[in-house]
Amino acid sequence: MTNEENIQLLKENIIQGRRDENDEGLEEGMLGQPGAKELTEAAIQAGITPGTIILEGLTAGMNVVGEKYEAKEYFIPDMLASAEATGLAMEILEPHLAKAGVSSKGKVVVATVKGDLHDIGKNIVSLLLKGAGYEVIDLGNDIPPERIVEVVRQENPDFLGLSALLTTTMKMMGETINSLREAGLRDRVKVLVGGAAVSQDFADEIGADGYGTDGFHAVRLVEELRE
Amino acid sequence: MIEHCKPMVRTLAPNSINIEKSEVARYLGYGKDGNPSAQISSLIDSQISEAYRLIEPSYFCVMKEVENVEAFRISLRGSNSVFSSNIIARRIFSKCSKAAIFLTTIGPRLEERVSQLMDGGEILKGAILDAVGNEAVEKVACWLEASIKETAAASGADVSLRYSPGYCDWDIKEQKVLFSALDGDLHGVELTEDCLMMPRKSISGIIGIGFDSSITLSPCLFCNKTDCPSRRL
Repeated sequence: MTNEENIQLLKENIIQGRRDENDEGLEEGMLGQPGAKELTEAAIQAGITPGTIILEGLTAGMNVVGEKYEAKEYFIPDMLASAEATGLAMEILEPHLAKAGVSSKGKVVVATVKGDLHDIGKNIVSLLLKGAGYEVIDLGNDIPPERIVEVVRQENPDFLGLSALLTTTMKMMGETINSLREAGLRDRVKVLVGGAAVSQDFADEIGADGYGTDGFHAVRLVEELRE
Repeated sequence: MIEHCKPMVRTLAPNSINIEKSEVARYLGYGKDGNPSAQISSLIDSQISEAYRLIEPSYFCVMKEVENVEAFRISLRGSNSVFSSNIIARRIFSKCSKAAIFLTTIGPRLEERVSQLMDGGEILKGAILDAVGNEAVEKVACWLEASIKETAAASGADVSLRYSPGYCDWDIKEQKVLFSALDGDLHGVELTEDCLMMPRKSISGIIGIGFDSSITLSPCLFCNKTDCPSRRL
């Protein structure tokens, strides 16, 4: 296998959502073939740089997944399978990144706001952000504003992602932003919001920097805002 | 079968609930536009099997007489319970003589497993098991609804759709009123300060019973929010 074939196969396996050789993939006949894990290990062995593996294998693969998701060719589970395969490859690459001088693209703190216990959307966004090369600190769900303020102060993240599913709990996003303002931290972090009940109008009303309609949109927003 | 005016608590055998794979796929976002791939399909199968080992379906139901209905209020005899919802009061309960207040749950074990999977980075499996849980608790509520309908039909009565706090203009905070109307052993289901139920895979609500067939109509027929994902027509 040439280096080019290795990277191309890795990209294809990200698109297929195959973590390792035991995964079936979306198309038939792939069981037993190397998956993202084996191909990432092979790429490292072959001396391909982590930067190339990430950019031309993982990110290129996830970009195709994003396009397929937008085109309704892929659905949430397909996207999650691909994001998990990417996450596994990133884990394998992690010890090699510092050596190769590859640093994370930015730090993102994510939380489901106080009073809300729904965390699947937030978990999906976290997974996609990790796959896109960001360091993610996931605080969990039912997180009060004061805890978020404390973590923003300590960790100094580039982004804060707030999630809420319900109309009753999304108000807490505004309160969290107010708490950041009162603590003098609002200008230090860009705040993105998302969740079933949230809208662009609501995001504008509470003074958020962006509103993500889904996981891929959230990643795109982060990419745009960091430029 | 549900008996009138007598609180009923019952635990069902997990296999008495029919978890439909197509419904799980729908919760996962697959609509008429696509079907799960072989890989996702077999994962859904395995998580449905897992769910049958984890769910503890049960319900609590009590029948109350509808005492008084004003435009915004429904009061129930013998419980000091007053629900406030213009749409549900006017369209449905003004024509009902009785109301079944209910709570169904599949217990905490499935969602504990979902959290475990999520924490371990298995987001895909966790998301699928969570969707299976949604379908399972929905089926427990359907089972109870069918049972109430059967009892009502025996006396020639009709039943309404079921309504939960948060539906139409019924404030989710009235979960507290609903829980006090249930007033009994609720299988460990508790309300958080913000009126969410724990375990989360629980459904509470009210079903109207009466002799006017218009109570079976969905209020969504008269609602302008045509893009509502929960529209029932």
